Amino acid sequence: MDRRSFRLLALLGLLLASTFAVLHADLGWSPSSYQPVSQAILERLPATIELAFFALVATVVLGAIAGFARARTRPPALRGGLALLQLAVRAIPIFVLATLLQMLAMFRTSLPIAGMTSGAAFGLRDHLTHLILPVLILAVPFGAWSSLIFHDFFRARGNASRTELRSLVEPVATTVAFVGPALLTATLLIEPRFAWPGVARLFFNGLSQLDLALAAGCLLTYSAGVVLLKLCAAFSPSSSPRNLASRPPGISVVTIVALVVLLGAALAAAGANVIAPFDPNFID
Amino acid sequence: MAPAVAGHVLGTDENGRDVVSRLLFGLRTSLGIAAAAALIATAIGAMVATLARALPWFGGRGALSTIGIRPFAAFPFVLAAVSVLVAKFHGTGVVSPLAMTLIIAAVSWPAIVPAFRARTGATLGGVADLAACALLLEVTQSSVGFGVQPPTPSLGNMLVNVQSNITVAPWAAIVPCIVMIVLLFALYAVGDELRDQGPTASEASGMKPHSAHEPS
Repeated sequence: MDRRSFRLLALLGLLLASTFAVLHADLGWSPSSYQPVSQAILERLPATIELAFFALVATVVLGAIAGFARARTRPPALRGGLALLQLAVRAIPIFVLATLLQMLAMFRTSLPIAGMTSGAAFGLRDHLTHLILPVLILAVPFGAWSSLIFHDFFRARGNASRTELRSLVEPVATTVAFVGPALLTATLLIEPRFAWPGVARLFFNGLSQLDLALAAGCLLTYSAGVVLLKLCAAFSPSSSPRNLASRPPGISVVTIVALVVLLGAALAAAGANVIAPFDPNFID
Repeated sequence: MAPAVAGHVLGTDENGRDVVSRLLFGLRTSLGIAAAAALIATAIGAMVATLARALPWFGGRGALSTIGIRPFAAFPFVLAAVSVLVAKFHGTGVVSPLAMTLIIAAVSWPAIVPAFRARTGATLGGVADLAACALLLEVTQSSVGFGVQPPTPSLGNMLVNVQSNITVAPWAAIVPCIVMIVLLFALYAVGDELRDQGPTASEASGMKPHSAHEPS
């Protein structure tokens, strides 16, 4: 058996084992929700998986488009612009983006900003419109991360006009393995903001009410998800294309500006008690 | 209070405290935590990498690097550690900045281990990434109220209460957000630049290079 099929088999085995463990494990009793922990988690798990799945698909699509665009753009100015753009999108913390887009949606559009459905009845169309905003908020920053992987992939292929669909498995698997875990845990931040009835609410309830059995069960569930996503690295290439295409030496202007900004911030932080006009806790 | 009233250049927050002053002291807390956590994590990572080189069965070449925990992926672990600490020692939500530093360092060190197999430049890039990761973790953690506790200002906990009156006093929310984004941008830019330069040492010696573009 070659290495690759062994990894595949191991992946399937772990998948089966973890499904069995989640379905049958005794994770204890949750006093805050008056039911076994595993039952409480199983009730909420589908919502989290749905959100994470759609967000991951959107991340891969956005990352592929952005990476392809950056790898195939010729004019240096436009290339630099795209590089700066992905850096800027990556630098926006996800909770800041969530607040921003939620406010925009509230004032400018009729997109729903909370819950899974508008009424008690379940309508597919209605449900999908509720998915748009949370999926977008997850997919934009993680799509920027994923675009790095796709950028390297397309650049390493040079100017080959045709890219076989099969070869795309590699960057997609790399994205799932390396961006997926971060995306899954970012749903912890997004779910409470959108009143999404997933595992995140249970986790925060467990933490704030010190129902540690519940919190530990949720933590175990997230960890299992992270491990499963990481296993997709079995499909990703063993070497990084970025290292093969080395860049010309020299430091770019952006890096110099970044270093100056960091130095300034460090100095401002160090001299805070000298330059601050007021005491930080003085109430005016 | 609105900006430029009674000597408050950027206005005051919901409690009437000066935004500029809180920002400067918050910068001190957040950057201090990020830098200290990155240094501790680098030290742990260096030890583990050396150990892995000396004892091949200890980590092999790939095993440890694949465990690498990324910023958001480390988030639930930090949350859990903080709440257990609070439950055990205080009973109320008081987490010192020192405790935050140690917790963040404890969960984020695996990310730097693969960088020690590369050139010095890439290792330094890994440290910049770790600092960005630590800053993001602290800010995220504090902004959901489980991190550095008020009255100590941090970039994250400046955002805890301002969202409820964001339509009346947007400056109190916007200013820390912009500072946060600029800092993360700078750290990512430096990290990318350092990681990108030239082939790695492991490549030159014929070893498999690590994946240089995991999010961190």
